[in-house]
Amino acid sequence: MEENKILNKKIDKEQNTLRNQNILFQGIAFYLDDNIYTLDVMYIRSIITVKKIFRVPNTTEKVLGVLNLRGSILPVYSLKMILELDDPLKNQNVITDEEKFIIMVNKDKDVFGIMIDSIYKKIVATNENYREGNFLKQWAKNFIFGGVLLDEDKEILVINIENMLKYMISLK
Amino acid sequence: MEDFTKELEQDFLEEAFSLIDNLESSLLQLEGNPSDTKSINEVFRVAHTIKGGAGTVGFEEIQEFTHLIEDILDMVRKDKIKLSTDNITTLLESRDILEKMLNARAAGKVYEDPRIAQNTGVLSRLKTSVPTAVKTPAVPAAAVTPAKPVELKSDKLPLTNEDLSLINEALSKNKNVFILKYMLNDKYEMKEVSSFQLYSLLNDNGEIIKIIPSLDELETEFHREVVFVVSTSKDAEYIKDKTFLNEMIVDIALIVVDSKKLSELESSNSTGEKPADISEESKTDGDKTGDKKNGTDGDDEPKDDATLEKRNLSTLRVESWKVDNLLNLLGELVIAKSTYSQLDNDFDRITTDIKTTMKEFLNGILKLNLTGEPEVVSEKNTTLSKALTQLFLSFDTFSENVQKINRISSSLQENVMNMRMVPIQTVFSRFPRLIRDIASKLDKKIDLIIEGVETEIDKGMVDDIFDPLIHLLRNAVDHGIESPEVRRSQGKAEVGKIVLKAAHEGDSIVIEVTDDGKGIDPEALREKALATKLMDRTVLERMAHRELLGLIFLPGFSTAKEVSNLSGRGVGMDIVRKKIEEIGGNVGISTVKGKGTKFIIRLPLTLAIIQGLLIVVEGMFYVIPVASVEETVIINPKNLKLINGNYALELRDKLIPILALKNFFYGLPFNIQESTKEYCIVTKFGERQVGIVVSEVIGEQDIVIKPLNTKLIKSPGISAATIVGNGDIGYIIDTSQIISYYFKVGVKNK
Repeated sequence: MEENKILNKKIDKEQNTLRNQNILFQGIAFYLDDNIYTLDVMYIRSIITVKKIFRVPNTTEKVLGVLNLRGSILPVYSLKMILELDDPLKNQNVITDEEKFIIMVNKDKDVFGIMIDSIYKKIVATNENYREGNFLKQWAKNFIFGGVLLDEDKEILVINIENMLKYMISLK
Repeated sequence: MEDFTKELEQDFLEEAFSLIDNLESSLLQLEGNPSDTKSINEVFRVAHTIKGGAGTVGFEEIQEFTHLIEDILDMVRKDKIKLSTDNITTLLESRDILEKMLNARAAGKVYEDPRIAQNTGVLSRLKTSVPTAVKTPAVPAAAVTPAKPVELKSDKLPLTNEDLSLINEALSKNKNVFILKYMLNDKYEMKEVSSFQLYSLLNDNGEIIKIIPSLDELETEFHREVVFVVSTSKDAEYIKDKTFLNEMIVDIALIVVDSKKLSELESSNSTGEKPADISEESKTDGDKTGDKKNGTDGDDEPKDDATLEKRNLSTLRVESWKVDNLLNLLGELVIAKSTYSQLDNDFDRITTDIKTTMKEFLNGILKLNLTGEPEVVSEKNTTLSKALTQLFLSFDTFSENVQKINRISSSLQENVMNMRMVPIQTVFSRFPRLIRDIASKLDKKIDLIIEGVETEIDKGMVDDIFDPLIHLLRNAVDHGIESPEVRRSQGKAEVGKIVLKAAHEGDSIVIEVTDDGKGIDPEALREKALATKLMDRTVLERMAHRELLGLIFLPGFSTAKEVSNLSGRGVGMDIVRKKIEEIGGNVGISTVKGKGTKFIIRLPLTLAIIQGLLIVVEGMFYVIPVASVEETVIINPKNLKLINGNYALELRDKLIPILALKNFFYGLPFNIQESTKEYCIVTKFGERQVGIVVSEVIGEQDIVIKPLNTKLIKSPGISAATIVGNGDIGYIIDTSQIISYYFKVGVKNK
């Protein structure tokens, strides 16, 4: 799996060198309501459909609950609520919405899921279409974004996993 | 290649760490009985093994250091040094330095400290304080250099009276007599002829009185060590020089036999001392030669090592994460098993229902009212009846198999659990030294008695239990046991006694720390609590002695009049209790003023699967560990009392404060009516009881603990999760956390 990713990246990179472009990373772009965001594939362990998520009492409502993934109990976050959007799934004891997807993220030793509405597509960030987003940091709630990716006429916000994880850990 | 080296280093470090634990206990044993050969050999073996291993992985400083220790111990073995308490202290210090060296290597560093030089200085002085036999230093051979120079013990030679008279005769003729021991190079291509070449060389330069092993033996088998007794007119240097054949010989040792030496030889021969036969030694070496063919190091090792090696063969070292993975899978199996059991119960219920409603049909008296041709209907009825009977039979077989799976998984669970178990000796072995050091610092005399070292505990608990135990033991030495003078004046034995005991009791491990010191005065605890305003006066005044003792486990409570370096900083017993409760155990205390104190720690057998009481709160599953449950009662609303805005349940003339989980977890109000059935699960909190109220209790089950990432999930009152029979996730309740939270809120309310 990991090798495949690296291999893909390598092949793509070679093709790119031909086109004289530099690939920065590849991402999976997804929808939250009508907005599109993207996550670097290097941090994505898997994408699964919702089976059953169980709410953990006395935790922040940004944690929708936990799920059982092959014997491990892992938390699932509402990215909508992290972005201060409304999430109809909040505060439900058990979530069984089979139309939703969960992106399982693996950063260092922490594994967690983020709930998304649907997948948009696989996307490639190059030095042509990606802008590092230092300017985004001035808005407190936007510090979890690392930059903006231009895809055709769309502007896609790229999530900075490290910052997002820091934020999650800081939640009470 | 680098990985391989890393692996080797890892193996060496693991082994070395476990060996130095033995070193300490053997040294302490030697202090009590300096002539205990078993302990001397054990200490020697440890130093020797570490030295060898360190050499293999290239940890030179460790190799050199252990070499020195080994030399000293060898001299002890040979009765050249008597071990005094000071010597033992030096060796214990050496052990500590060795541990630091190993720790440094484990961290990828080399330990450097002036203490090394200091310690090696003392060791070297000890070593050189004894005159040694003439020993030539190891001369490097082309192929192999021995890790240790060849040693020659003249008093252990199997010399007959005839040999002795030949020596005597030679000496009277003013000839030199030498005992020569050669270590031959077993990598030498023509090693079999080495001893014969030596024989002929020595024969040319003098007269051979004795050769060990005999020529016959040398002819049949290669021996790595050969001893010659020769008389010659040449001097020692000449003989050594002449016979040191490059490539063929690794090392030579030589003893000059003069009239004094001869009389020593004669006396050791006549005392009937069984010559600790060089032949046997050679035989061992012969075996070693065999080993060497297989590529292992053929060093001059003590004989015990052969047995040790054999013992090691029956053990398999497995990294603990592999066992943990196995356990995780087993957890899945246990969950699947409970699903099957549930299914089996459902089938049983359904078949009983069908059988009752269709009893007559199945008996063939009645036929089902099917439409169609009578013949076809009859046929259909027969088929249906047969199919149903068949189905019931299948259900029976299914049921039997579920039972079988239950049995197998239980025994599998037991076995895998067993793999994680290690003798509690691993923890206990560190204490004798500690008690010795603390006692000597405080000028107290203490006898530490350790019992039940073979009791096995989960490897995961080893580190967690160490700190609490060390604290209890320190307390016992520092505050429990009185000074020898005080003890004498009270008619007690001068030497205080601390007993550390472990045993299995049902599903738990019980560890007791008992001292025969001054005990704890509950009234003093009451006064102390009043003085520190830790609790309400009215509450304190009502407290019984048993409850007062529980106060010492409260944060910030210390009874020591003065804060000492060792214990009594006021942050102790609460941490002890917290640590023990974190691993699912509990701690109790009993004491008699003037007689002593006993702490009793109760731990679960394992950390991975626990017995839990499965309950349902607001449609979600929760588990209360059975270890913290005292009893479960159905609440009679009449017995509920409202005290200071909080409910308490009157149970057998006792008021138990209660807390409803639906209130704690979901903020729902607790109001009980006659019509609702609520259960109160009475749990322990130190010496106190608290009732947890729930509306649905499913029952006791094996609960597989699934850890939660506590960095991300912070839920007070929940310690971990589990997967229940139907595949849902349940939460394991941390009762101590819930209860302390409750009391905090309770205090706030007031």
